[in-house]
Amino acid sequence: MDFNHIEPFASTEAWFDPHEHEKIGWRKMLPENLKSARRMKKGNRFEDFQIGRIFEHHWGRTVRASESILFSTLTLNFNPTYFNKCYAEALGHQECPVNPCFVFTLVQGLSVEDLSEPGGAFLGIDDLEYGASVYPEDTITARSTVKALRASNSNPGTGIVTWHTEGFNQRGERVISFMRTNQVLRAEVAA
Amino acid sequence: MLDTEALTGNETYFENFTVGDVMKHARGKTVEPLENVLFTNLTMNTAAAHFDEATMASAPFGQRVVYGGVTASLMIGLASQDTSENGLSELSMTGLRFRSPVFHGDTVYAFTQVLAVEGSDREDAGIVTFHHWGVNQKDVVVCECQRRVLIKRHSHWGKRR
Repeated sequence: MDFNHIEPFASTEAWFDPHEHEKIGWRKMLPENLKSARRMKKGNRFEDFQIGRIFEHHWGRTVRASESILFSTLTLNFNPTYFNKCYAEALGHQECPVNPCFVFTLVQGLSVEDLSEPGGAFLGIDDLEYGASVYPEDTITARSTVKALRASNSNPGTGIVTWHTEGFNQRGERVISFMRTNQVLRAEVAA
Repeated sequence: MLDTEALTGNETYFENFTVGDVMKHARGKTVEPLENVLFTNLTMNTAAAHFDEATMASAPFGQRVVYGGVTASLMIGLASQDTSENGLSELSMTGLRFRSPVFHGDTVYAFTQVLAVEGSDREDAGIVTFHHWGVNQKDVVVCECQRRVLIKRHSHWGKRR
């Protein structure tokens, strides 16, 4: 797969500077005993990714019927399979399956801290395939593998990473699989 | 048994799709924290860019940016009544690209071109490949993708006449 044509829309500056609030002096107001607080770092930088490295993402998530219906209705997704139980039963389901767009958004969401939390443009998704249908009360976990690394032409403070991300249900059945490409901050920029 | 054909449109069966047809879907939706922050948090996306307005105020965009998963889902949702209302299952998606950022207050509209129609291993359904575009209120493309959906055949699921 060729991701060389993908360039971010982001400006040539870093997505955001996590220390900006210190530079502009907000911390002057901070109580004295909090000024030396240990910064709890989250997320990884471009240098943390090596091809083949696997991330078993944290937490997992049990999905409720109401969440999928909320997602379907707020995104105006009008396939009754996702919000009309009787209709879903007539199609052979035991109950309404979870909206696949919610499954995609959730599995990507679970991967964010490990892969892309510090900021950087989300460039694209390729080769997304849905597997087993997800139903309410299923518990979803996610795993990603680093697939490609390259420099960003437009933004030397970042690199571009492609991961293969997979989502699984509580029986280990794969419910989704996709390639995600993101701009990722380099350590020297984020430090 | 429920009369399923009474609940969905009669123009969105597999047989209704013609390769090359381009649609502008009727509805747009203004994206608010309601969609972006709610679904960013519900899906455990921990990127502050989507929910920390104070930090993002000092970033190049000056404000929170809508999570691409939400933008893409809204684009597909806005296109759904005309493309997958009679869908049996979502099969795949590729070429999802984010062309321009979406901010709170932007309105997203959807366009679709039918790229391919093909049979499936089920005689009651066929596969349609769509290209979707999400476009903002300034006519700027914000995202696009290709998506394959398994769709009911009218011959098996439609209203008998």
